[in-house]
Amino acid sequence: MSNPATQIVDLKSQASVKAIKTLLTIIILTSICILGFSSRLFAVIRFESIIHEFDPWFNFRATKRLTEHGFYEFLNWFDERAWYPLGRIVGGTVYPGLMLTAGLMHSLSNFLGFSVLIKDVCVFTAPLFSGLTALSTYLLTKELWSEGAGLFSAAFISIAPGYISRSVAGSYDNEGIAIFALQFTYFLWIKAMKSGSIMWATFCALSYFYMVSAWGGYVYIINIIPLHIFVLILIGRFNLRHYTAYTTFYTIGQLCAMNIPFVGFQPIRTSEHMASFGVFGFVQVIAFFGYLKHNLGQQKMKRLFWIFSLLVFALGLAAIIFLTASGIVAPWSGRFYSLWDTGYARIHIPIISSVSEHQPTTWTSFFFDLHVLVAVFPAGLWLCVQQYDDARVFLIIYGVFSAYFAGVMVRLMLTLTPIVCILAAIVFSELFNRYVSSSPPPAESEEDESSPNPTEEELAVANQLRSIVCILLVMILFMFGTHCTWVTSNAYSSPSVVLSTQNRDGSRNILDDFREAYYWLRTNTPDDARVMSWWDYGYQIAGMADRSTLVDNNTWNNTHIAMVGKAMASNEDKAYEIMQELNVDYVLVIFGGVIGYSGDDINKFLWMVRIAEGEHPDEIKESNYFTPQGEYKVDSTAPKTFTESLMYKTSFYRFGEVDHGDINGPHGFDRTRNTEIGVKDIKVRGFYLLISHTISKLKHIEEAFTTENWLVRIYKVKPRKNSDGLIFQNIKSKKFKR
Amino acid sequence: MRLYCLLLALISANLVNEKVTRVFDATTQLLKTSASVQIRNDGKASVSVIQLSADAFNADKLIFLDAKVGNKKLKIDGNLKASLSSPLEPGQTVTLEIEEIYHGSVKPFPTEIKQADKQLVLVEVNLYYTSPYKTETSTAKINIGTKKTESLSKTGKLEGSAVKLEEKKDFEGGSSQKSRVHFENNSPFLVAERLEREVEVSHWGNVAVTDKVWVKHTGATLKGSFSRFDFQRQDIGPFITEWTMILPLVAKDVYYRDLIGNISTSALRQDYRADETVLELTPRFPMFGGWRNHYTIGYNVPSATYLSSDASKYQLKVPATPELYNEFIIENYFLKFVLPEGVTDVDFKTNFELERKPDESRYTFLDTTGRTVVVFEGKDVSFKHAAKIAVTYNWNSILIFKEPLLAISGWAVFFLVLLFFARMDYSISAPVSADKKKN
Amino acid sequence: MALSPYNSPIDPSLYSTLAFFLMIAGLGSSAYFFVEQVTKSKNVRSLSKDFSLALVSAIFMGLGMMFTMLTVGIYV
Repeated sequence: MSNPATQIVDLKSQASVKAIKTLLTIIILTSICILGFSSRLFAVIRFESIIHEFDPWFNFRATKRLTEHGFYEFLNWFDERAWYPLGRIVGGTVYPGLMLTAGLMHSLSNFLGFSVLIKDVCVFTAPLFSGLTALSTYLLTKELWSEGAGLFSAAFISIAPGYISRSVAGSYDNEGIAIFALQFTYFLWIKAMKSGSIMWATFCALSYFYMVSAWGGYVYIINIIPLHIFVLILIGRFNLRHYTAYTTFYTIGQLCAMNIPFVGFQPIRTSEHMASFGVFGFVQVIAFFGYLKHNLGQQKMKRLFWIFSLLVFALGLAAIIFLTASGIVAPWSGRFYSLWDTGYARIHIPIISSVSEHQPTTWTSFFFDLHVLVAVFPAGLWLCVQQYDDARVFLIIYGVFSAYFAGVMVRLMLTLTPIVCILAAIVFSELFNRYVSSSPPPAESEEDESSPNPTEEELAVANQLRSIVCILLVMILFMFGTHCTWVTSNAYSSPSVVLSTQNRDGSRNILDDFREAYYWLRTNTPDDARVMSWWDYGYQIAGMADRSTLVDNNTWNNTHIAMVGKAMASNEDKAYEIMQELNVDYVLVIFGGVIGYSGDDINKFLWMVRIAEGEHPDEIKESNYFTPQGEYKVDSTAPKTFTESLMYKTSFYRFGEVDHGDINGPHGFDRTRNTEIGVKDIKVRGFYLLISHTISKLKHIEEAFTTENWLVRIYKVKPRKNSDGLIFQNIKSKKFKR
Repeated sequence: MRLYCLLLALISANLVNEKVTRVFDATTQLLKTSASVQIRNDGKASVSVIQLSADAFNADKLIFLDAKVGNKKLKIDGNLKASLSSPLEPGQTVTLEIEEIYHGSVKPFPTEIKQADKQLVLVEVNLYYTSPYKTETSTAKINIGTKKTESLSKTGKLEGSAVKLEEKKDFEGGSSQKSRVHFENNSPFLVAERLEREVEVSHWGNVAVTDKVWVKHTGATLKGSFSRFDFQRQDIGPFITEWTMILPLVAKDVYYRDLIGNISTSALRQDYRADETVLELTPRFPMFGGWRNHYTIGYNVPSATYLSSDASKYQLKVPATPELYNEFIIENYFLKFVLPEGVTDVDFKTNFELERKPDESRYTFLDTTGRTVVVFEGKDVSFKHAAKIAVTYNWNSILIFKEPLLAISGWAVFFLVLLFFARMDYSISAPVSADKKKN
Repeated sequence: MALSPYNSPIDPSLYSTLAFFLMIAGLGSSAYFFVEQVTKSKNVRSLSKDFSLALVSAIFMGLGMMFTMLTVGIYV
């Protein structure tokens, strides 16, 4: 076939095939990006373009400060309206990557002449980055397996519910951009590791720097990559390329990471980073010995090499243990330690265990978030083991560890999703390769006894089977797509600031109680008013109502939170003392008894008690708030400590008179806990009946505002009366002094 | 005030108010007067200027004064001097229909009430007709809308839902005596403390109007707690739960939002007979005494409704204030016109008092030099002013091509940069074929 | 001065159709331009063809973008 004419034809057809392939790839990737973006828009279309949940409100407020005052003002910001009276050093306690990304996009678009509002930039940051995540996943999988698998993985991750849950439009949170940074860093790492080039390793380090600025989960990268290198050393595949890549990555990456104020000197002082440090040292030793071996000859060095490297490894490990034990290197922080010892947080750090996202994952969550991918990904893991090379070892490690961590905390399903998408994509790609092409599978028919040339019948049957399998696979993928869209639409697209119910005729009824209360606070209270509420709502109050709060979602000061919890759990007099100490003007509670909202403060009350008990064990005891049978109830069997607590009184004030429209029905029926409340006074056709205890009367606080469906209740703290109720009269000036 | 009236009375003592009938309406937050005054020229010269005056006890709260003879409106200057269209001959009489509106005359008293209390207001008017001229007979009636009063000065008598004041005969100009009524008034006391109106004109066929409103309930302040439970059982009270705003019939894309997002409690319908769009607004929370609220309403109107042109001269005629609610009062008023890029010779005409501030500049989509923003400020505008404003400017119609050309050139730059980078040689060493060729 | 109501040079009801077709044309020609740049080697490309393609793409994309903005309510 050396005819020049045919050669030219071959070249041309090759070029056109390549052109078509590239065009197809570009079209598919573009549609994947558009698909990922549009799948996240349910909440915006149903409600409006608004920031969701709790944490995103703080991120939004910080981004606003960045755009209004500039970068250095943001980095040096001390927020005196949070954690009253302590304040919060925002610049040093926040990961600035998210705010800087949104701020940059905002200034860029304004510079180009598109004057978009910062709110809209923030709402749509996460969907935009989901497209980039899909692209980086494609690149990563292409490096590790093949282009077909890459396209599959990009498609999977663009709609996988595990990732969508944290990146819908409106969920302006670190994970939205961090997963993109994660995938991109991994892609650059694989590239660096395969090529051994300093350029790729430097890019990887810079991408790692972006990841560090974006999310606290960067600890994951800085432990997986050293682990990868360590496993390569153990299986004997460690070479100079890996050495170059890791050394460049570690030095530049850590130096960059230490530039983030929040990270500071943690890379050399905390246990989470010691693994990478240790491997770094170990790698230098190994490379040194490799150099010696290269120059001095193999024979002498072999035994010496192994003994010496073991010695160095043991010494390094001992040094790290010694440093940790003596306190120079901080031990694993509570958040990360609880990943290994799952019972630790409940006993020692109740705040961490009280967050619903930190509960262990159930099987249903795995299926809910990943559908068929979770069933298929072990096959991908096996394929990687079967056809492994240096880069695929990384996939194996990544997959195994992600699977473990995802089982510990629901929140970490997010880190499992990318690897599951990649491995499942590998499986699907291999399946389709095998069953779509009509050429027989290579290399395995050598051992077959049967003749290498199949008969016509066998070929026909084979084709039939092939098409059946392909159709089945396509149907499975359709079901996956439908499931993902259904899950996104029903479970993950709720702004949680706005609630909605459906009326009997199908029309939507919007419950805007939260914003009603926050706006009332914003327009009808003095600018320096201080609002005491449970820490869940701190960011929302600061963002929407623009008032100083005592505790918020940052939960950095457990003692302060315990004080608020103690105030909520004590009787009114004690709570008033605490509120006077903290200069509180308003108390805000969430009460869902009228509409059956289950996320209200009475349901969270036991956590308040537990956290308060952690700091004040003599005054608050959890057992005092249970009925004699040991149950947590709000009806007439509730103990006095509970019914006299500030939380009970503020939630159920005047609620005993509510009859939900049915005059003959029970009064004060709490729809969330499905029981009548215990302390109320009832008016029955003009008669006045007292039931047990005392009438719920408030002494030191008065009701300032309650929203339409009683969801948010705001109370004003009355100023302190003089002792004994006497009013001091200044005789000279005849003015009354209080 | 009394001395001045006396002086004036001495100077122009030749006009006499023959018969004066006044009807006060105090059923809403505004005190409205409609008076029918029959004036006779007792002097020897013909008179073409009549001095009117506001009620003696409410003079500083006057926001509107209007006088009509038959159906023709008289011109009234700043000192409340009305000019007659045809001079009044000696011995002739002319009947004036005078309309006055006072804001702040219906005073809540007590000024702080609890949620369950009724809102009681105090109205004080002059028993005599306030005028620099002598009056022969004067009668007055105050409509209060309820059949009972808390207190009443002795000069008045309650008849049905109105208080009839004593009839006074033959008194000099400048006489005054306070008559007060204290009664229950639960009508909405809503005042727009601040209105910022922005009108953005686009020559692609659209005028976008945005109204930012700061309202306050100026009735008796709520003292003590607000109980949602009691409120849900209260039918009537001094609280405000909704009001109606009128928009032009062709308004579309109407939005109602505030600083933290969209407000869903509103109803919009088009009223073709009245040629308007009715927007029923419910604020996020009901407004009680002393409470404030803030919201934004915006809508688009096709340019033909407000903008008219003749070659390169353009005229933009808009109502200066929206109809915020029934009988609206605006205390501080700001108006901005955002005109397209490249306008020159901006001029304006209004029918009420407005102050022009220095122009500003605004950069929005596809702008290079910035759009001219014409800024106005005003005070105390009410529904009676029917305020209108007309802005004229010059604009070269070839400039309509500026925006498409800008967009095209932006994309052209992008493509050319790509082209440039695609043709660049990135290799660090010289290509192998060139070396071989050299050898 | 005879003032007549001002109407835009193009009927606003046509904005959405115009935007749609211009964007399709723009995206199509941009895609052709990209594929040409990526797949063909340097020797085969001709500068004049590239320039004309870039210009055509720019015109369609620019006009399409502007009419899209007018359709969604950003009246530039």
